[in-house]
Amino acid sequence: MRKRIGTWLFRAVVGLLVVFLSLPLLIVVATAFDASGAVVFPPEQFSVRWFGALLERPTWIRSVLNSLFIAGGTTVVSMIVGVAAALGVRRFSGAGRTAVVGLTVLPLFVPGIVIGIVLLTFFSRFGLQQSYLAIIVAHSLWATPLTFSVVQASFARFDWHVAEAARDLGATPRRAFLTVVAPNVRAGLLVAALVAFVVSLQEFIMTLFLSGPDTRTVPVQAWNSLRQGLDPLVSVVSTILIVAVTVLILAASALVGLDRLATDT
Amino acid sequence: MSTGTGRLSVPALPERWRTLLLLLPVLLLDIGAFLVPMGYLLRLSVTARTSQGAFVEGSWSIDGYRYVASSDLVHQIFAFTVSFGVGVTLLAVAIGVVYAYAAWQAGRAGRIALLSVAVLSLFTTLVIKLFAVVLVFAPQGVLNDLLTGVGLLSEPVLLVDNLVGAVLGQLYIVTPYAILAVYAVLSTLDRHQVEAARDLGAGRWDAFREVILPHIRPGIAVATVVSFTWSIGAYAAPLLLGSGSEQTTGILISELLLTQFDWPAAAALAVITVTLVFSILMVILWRFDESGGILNA
Amino acid sequence: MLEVEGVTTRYGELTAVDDVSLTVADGELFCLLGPSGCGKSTVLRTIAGFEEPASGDISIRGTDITGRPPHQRDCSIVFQDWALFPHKTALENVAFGLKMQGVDAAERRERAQEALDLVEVGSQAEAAPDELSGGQRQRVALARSLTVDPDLLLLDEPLSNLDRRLRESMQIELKDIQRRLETTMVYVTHDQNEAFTLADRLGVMNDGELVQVGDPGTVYDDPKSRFVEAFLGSTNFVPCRVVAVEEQPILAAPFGVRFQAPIDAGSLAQDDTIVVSLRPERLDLNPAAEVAARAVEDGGVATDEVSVPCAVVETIRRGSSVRIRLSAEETDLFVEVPVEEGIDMTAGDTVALQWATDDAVYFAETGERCR
Repeated sequence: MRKRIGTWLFRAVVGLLVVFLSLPLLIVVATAFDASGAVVFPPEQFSVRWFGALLERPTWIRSVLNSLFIAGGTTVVSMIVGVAAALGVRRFSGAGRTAVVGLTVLPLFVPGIVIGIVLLTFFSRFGLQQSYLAIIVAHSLWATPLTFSVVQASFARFDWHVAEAARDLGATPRRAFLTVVAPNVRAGLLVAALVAFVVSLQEFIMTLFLSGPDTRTVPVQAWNSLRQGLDPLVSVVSTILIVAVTVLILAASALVGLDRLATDT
Repeated sequence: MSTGTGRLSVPALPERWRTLLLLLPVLLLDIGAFLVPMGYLLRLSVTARTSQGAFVEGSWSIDGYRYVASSDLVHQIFAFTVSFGVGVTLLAVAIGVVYAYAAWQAGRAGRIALLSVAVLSLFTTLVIKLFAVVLVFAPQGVLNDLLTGVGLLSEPVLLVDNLVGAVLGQLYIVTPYAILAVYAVLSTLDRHQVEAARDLGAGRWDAFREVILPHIRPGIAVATVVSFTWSIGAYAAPLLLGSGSEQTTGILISELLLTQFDWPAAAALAVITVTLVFSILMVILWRFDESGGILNA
Repeated sequence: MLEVEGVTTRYGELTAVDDVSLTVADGELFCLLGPSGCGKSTVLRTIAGFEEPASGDISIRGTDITGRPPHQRDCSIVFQDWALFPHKTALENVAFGLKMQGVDAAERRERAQEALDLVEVGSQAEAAPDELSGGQRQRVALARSLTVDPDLLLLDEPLSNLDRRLRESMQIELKDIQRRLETTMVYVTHDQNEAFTLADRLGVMNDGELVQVGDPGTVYDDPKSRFVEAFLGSTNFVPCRVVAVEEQPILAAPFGVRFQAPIDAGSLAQDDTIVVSLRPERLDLNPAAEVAARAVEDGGVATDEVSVPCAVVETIRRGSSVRIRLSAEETDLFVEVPVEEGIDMTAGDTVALQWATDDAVYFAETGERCR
């Protein structure tokens, strides 16, 4: 009997946690479909008119384009850096490896606000504050450790003897990489790229300090509206972001399985 | 992607140079855009303060640190930030362990559901999450509506614009990291070990304490470091969901930097914060993480 | 002692164990033998309480334990990967069960040390599992299960991760410990030699079903089905055609020989196929000339003894015996003979292969034994 109470208590706690984590997001989505424009839940009348209203607000359109551009840039930079580092570190062991890995993950252990103001003061010396470059570099500092670890994990799962066999059968290193290695780790590379994209898409603190009126991303734009009061467009943009992220996560977990996505990143 | 890296492994290059070439981008990024700027921050923190601009170029002074050391307001804010960080971290790690354990021992469908929620939350921008917390926990929010509606409460409880709101918001930001950090380690546990413990007479709780807890120590270490790093740098959650009295060092630094143009003081405070986070990171690495789990995370 | 009655265990749609019933007597070492995936481990896990049977009952010493959680069953399991707790020393591992029973620290140290001494790893008490060799880990795992003094010890292929020589010496030792402590054991293995070495009685499983139970000699000599015959050792299966149905049917082997099979013709009909199993150790080889004459006298249908002229294809020396591959017309056969008999044969020799019809085992096409 006592055991049963314990079990139910445990389930109740976990259930509450699931609600705590997921319900707010569902409510944000729900409020985006209310006709009145007041942010209410449950929605009183279903409507998609605020999605149309979004198209008439150039600042929001601009922020969506900025977000996509910066996320794309971050993906390219962090993939080049992460894949190269994963290949480079493969033959390392011991201190050399720890040093490289440690350097890569270090930015994750500095509060975002500190990196934000550090890069703001540093880049402003070169007149680069509020530039796309500054934001992409900042996002890459956080995206690279993740692309690096995902790529490294898929390299670790790959049987490199296969590449050696290809070399043995006469393939050049380059051919061996393209024909044998790349197809086998392709899923891992794609997931790493998706993770980098999503990390950039959702980053806020650093971007808040590094962006200007022309380079604001969606989260920063949303923050600015929120500081002025509840705006139905925040719900609408949030919904779009949540859906986009969900689709990307589904794509990633279809590629490698949710379990690996949850443990590798 | 693959063509880019394929080109890097040109056979003519000797092994050593090839490795160096492959590591060049990461060194460039992390030294050029992280270590050097951090050095610049350190330099800024020891320049002289001035009312004419942000700081005095080329000067040397410990005025910034002196200000931090002498101001009662800074002390209060710093003390609040640290206790806020510790409190949120404890809660987040506890939730992370419970949630990760639930996901681990659930069936396939349950595990997928639990992990999806955590991963989705992890990848949702904190601005949306804070906005969502407002919608749910505000006096006219969903929760209060519900509780007063069914008669559990006679009037709404204040859950935002105070400490509770700041903690809820911050928890919402860091908990997914804590969950996944613990789950990543828990997923490597051999289920036979738990079965062996149960078989030898351990109840669920005994098996958890004797077998699972020792195994997930590295995960707990990572969860602690990440939660603490994020909470000590808390900015958005206390600003949006706290009252004026939930000021954190993050908020103070940005004020010093952007509205008071006191860069040496801001830099000094940032240096102290980073030093604190790193010392805790070192202690945890040394005490709890024999296997180097943090560096492999 | 242990009674398993009509137990069926399912994983979702898959029926892993299908209506298995068995009893194990006090102090007996019972082996469950079968190929991987046959459900033998699931039977063990169901007895231990890690799987819930869809139907059926399990009782130990007359007490029904079917619904009880694992920690409330008086049995203990040794896993294939041993599942030692990596964060505890060998001694702490062994003391774990006692700790769970609330035995005080000093006493459990003492009893754990005794158990380690019993399995001869007493000197490794303070070592962590990853500092131990495979054999030592296996011993610690055994000691860990023995310290809780279980009524029933369950072993799930505990030796399969060891190399062959170590495995063989551990088998002897395990049997020794079992006799000394008089512990009842259920031992799961896919290795028939291991089962023959250890078992007082064994049960052969296939496809979730318990096919045959008995003492090892009986099961080997008197298999119930073609599966059991094939699984227990290598043999020659020769498909033969029924050419005449009398009291005992006359069979025609593909290599031209006809013989009377000492089985009940029963429902057999002309042109049915009977698979004849010829164990390599029950076949004789003789110089060809002698035999040819006798076959003629028998007038085409052999009664008690069958002989077939064969060509030697290859001789393979396997330690103390020689395996000789033969070809009789289009059929490949093999024989195993002691080295001194086989040493002179070389490929191309013609020999006569002989066996007594009583020594062969006969199966219907369905795999059922014909008697």
